[in-house]
Amino acid sequence: MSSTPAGSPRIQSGPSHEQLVEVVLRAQKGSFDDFQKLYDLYARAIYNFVWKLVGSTEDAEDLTQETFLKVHSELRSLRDPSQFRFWLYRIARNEVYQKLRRKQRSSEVSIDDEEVSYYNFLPDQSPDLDPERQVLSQELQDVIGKALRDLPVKYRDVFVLAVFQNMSYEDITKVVGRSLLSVKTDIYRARLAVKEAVNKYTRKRP
Amino acid sequence: MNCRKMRIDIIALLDESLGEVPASRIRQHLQSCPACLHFYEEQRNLDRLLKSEPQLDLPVQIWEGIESRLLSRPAPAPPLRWLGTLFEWANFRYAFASAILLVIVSVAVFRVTVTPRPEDEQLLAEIRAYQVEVQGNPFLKEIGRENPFYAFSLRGGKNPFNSVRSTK
Repeated sequence: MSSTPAGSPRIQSGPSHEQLVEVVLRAQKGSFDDFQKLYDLYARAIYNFVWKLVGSTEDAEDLTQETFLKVHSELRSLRDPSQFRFWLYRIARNEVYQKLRRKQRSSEVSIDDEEVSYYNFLPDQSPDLDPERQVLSQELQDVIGKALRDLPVKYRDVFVLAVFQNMSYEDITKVVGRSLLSVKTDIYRARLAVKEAVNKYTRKRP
Repeated sequence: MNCRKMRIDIIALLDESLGEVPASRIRQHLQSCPACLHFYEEQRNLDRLLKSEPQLDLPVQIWEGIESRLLSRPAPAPPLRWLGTLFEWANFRYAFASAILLVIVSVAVFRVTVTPRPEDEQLLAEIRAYQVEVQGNPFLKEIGRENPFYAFSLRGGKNPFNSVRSTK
């Protein structure tokens, strides 16, 4: 699996708001090309969002696929096309919740899942880093991943949206349907937990 | 000043989700509170670390899977335009409400005009019971020939005056 350097997943260059609304409207009328345009615009962000939440690339692929299939079948029910982005994230989040609930019920977390886990996933390392720093970087990523996994889901999703999806708190409230104060507090708690995990790790190192 | 509340806003400032006025308030506080400044710097470093994490590229098989599943779905039946118009939700809503209203009115009219009132039911039951009694008693039958009320009873509630006339 290849990876790219970090960058803002927020769609900076792309269609304007009006153009996007037009694309959504045409997709609602059944235009497959426009549905594909929406996929091209948002699929990578959704894939990464889901991956951070479930921690497995395999599950993230399935969930991204399910999310867009649901978008295709229910796009007509979206009343305000300008809210498409939040609606899309809501669908993805619901798919993740369903998946996590199913896993919890069947205690499905198997060795296979652990093997492809994000938390053990090795991203491409920069060739500039010396081996020791590469190990350090990988270990830190594992620590962060573990801290994320240990967070309650309601903290995890707002944290991932704010930090990795670069979404404003106002926008996050539209995705998760909670108050601004609740979102702010949950992100604060999540950050403290992640920071604590990183502190523990750095204290352990000689 | 409540530093805990400030720290929630410090995080919001780092996430660029604070308005201009509260942001300047936080910056002022940071200048005067070393503990919060330390917290801010720690969180900023964490933020850099988190944002340096790689983003995954999108695997092509996701779209291939979507495309193949959408194409394998049966094509939707061509829409019947006149049916669509007929059952368009707005029209259907009014039609449904009208139908319910019609049923309610019909039931009310039927109940008022056809169904006997309870007191009528009781009177009829008494008359029927009396008819049975009279028909089974020859003495009362005999009296009935002379008495229009009995005659009325014997003839099943027909006009007693007619009965009287017919007995003569």
